[in-house]
Amino acid sequence: MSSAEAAIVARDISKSYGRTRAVDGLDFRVERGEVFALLGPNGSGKTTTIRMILDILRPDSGSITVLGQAAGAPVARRIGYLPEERGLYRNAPVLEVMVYLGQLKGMDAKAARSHSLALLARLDLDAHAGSKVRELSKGMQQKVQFAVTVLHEPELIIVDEPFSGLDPVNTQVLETLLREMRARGVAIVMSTHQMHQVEAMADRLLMISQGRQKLYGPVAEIRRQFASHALLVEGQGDWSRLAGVSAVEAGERPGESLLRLDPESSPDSVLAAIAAAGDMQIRRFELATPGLSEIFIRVVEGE
Amino acid sequence: MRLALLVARREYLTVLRSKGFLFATFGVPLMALLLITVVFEAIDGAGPASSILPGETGFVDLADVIGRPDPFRPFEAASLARAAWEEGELDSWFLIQADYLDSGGVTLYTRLPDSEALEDSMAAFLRENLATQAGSRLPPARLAQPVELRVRASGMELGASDAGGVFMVQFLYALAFFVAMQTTSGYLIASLVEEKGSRVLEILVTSISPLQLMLGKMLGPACVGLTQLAVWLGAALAARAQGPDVPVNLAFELPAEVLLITLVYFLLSYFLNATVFVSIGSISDSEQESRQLAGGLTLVTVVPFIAYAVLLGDPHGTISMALTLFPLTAPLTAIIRMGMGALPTWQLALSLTLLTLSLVAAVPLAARLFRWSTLLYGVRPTPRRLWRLLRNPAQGRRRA
Repeated sequence: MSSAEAAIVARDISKSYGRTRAVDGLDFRVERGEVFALLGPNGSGKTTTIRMILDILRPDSGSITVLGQAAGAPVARRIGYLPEERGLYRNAPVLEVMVYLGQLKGMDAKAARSHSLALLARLDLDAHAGSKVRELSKGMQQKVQFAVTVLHEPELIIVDEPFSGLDPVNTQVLETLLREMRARGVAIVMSTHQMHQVEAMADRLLMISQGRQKLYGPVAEIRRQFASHALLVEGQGDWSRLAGVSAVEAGERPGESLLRLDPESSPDSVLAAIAAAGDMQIRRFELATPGLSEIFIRVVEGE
Repeated sequence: MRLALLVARREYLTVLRSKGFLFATFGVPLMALLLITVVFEAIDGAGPASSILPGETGFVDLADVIGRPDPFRPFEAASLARAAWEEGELDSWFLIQADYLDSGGVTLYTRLPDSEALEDSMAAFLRENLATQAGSRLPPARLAQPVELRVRASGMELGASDAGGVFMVQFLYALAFFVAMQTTSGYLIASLVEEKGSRVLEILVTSISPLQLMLGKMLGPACVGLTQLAVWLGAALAARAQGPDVPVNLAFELPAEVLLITLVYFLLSYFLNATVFVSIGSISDSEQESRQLAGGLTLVTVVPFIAYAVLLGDPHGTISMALTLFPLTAPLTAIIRMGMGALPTWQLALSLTLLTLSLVAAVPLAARLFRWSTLLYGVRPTPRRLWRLLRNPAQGRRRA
């Protein structure tokens, strides 16, 4: 298989349950070596989309190619899946569960065992290899679940709320692991409601609502699309005196001001006005782009 | 198939290491034996057992020693006597062996719960006939002890004339079968509900097809059941080696054909039960709900025990035949009737055929429900949805 081949190519896929149209004509592509965020409100069709990628469900129309293979091809062993609702055998020892699930992914028992032990050590869980799953804390179980997802070194991983229940330290550990995998060319599809994680990690995103595609593209590009006619500046000066500025508001960070511009003015003209004023100093000057949370709310509420 | 075997192996080992398995395999039989021993001791202590007067009894004389057949019915060949016995014309028949004068060998085939009165009649009958024999042919020991009797109740042969033991062994045999069946089916449903409840199922179906998963989950407990039966059979054989020290009479021999038929019944009925249990597990939301639904099935399968008196009293009657042919009650009824030598070959064949056909019909239905439960995860299976699924199996379909 060529490394240039996309991890996922979905063309106009739709899926209905009875009269309910869960997914309606989605078109997207996930490249190898990228983190792709799948966003949407609850019940928007994310899980159905994931299940179609995993070939658990077949689309009613359209097609999906995963790792270069059409539906029905044996690619399951090359995919890792972390579902939103975690699932482990609670009464079995951690290592036994990992080896079993690794074997189901095609690993031999010896390799599954050695990979499991290495991953547990990486996640600081090596002392708990013999513990029963139910004896672990929620965060530890979450890390074991993640380890099971990546145990067989998949080429594509699909993670649904991967950081749920993790403290900041463990969140960072998982982020590091995900970044390492991305660097190795693994495609990562991440479904989450934690928009700051998407901003921090995702290269591109697909936002769906009521089964339909709402936003699709690079995260930075989408944020620029939603940029308001405003500027964020840090510095000293009476910004309200500037020509072309209609209002000044406090920014989110200390010392930051949000300058709302007149419709006829532009960032360039405001910057020129600051330079011309002589009594103003700027340390930072940028277009005010909204966060993904705000974009999410605007898209969903705008329907 | 490799993945199905992997699932089966895990199911098998998980159950084998559980305390529940140890209790079901060793604790339950010990308690049952203890209880039965106590009951038998109590009956023995209550005075002499009432003898059931024999109905018609046939005999086959291979030693040519019988001149006066009354009160028994003579047959030319063992096959004729056996056929009459199996059809219910006779309660019992006995075979006077060719070397009888030297060995005293007589084998009694009976379905009477207590054959003591019959054995006394047989001894008197033989003594009377021996008295008419020419003195030169007759070893003196024969007149002193005319019978070295072996009693057979169809498949189970006793080393002593203890018909009560025959029926107890037969009852224990059926009980062992029932316990193995129920415990293994119970493991299946518990495992299924656990995987649904703990959401492991959603992980599993990304690695293995629902059909393979279902097959593996059914195979594992089947092996557990076979292990249980092997343990019990081994224990019974070990007990037999202990002879009279055994608290209850387990000194029996199981012919290979009976073991084979039991094995076939076990596998067919286990997989039939398992398909029903898989269906129940698929449409249930909790172990409690599953067990409630499974309880109904258990109630049906236990009917042969409830109707035990009917089976004993009228083993060839309509009820006995109906319970033999109805797939869910067939295994226990057939085993009980085999123990009484009251299961005609055609009924055995028809019973196994109907059981097989039921299994063939049930597997696709269970597979459909199981696949549905894995696909539409978290969706409550309302009767309307189930009906729609059964009418339209393609709904939500993906891989087999």
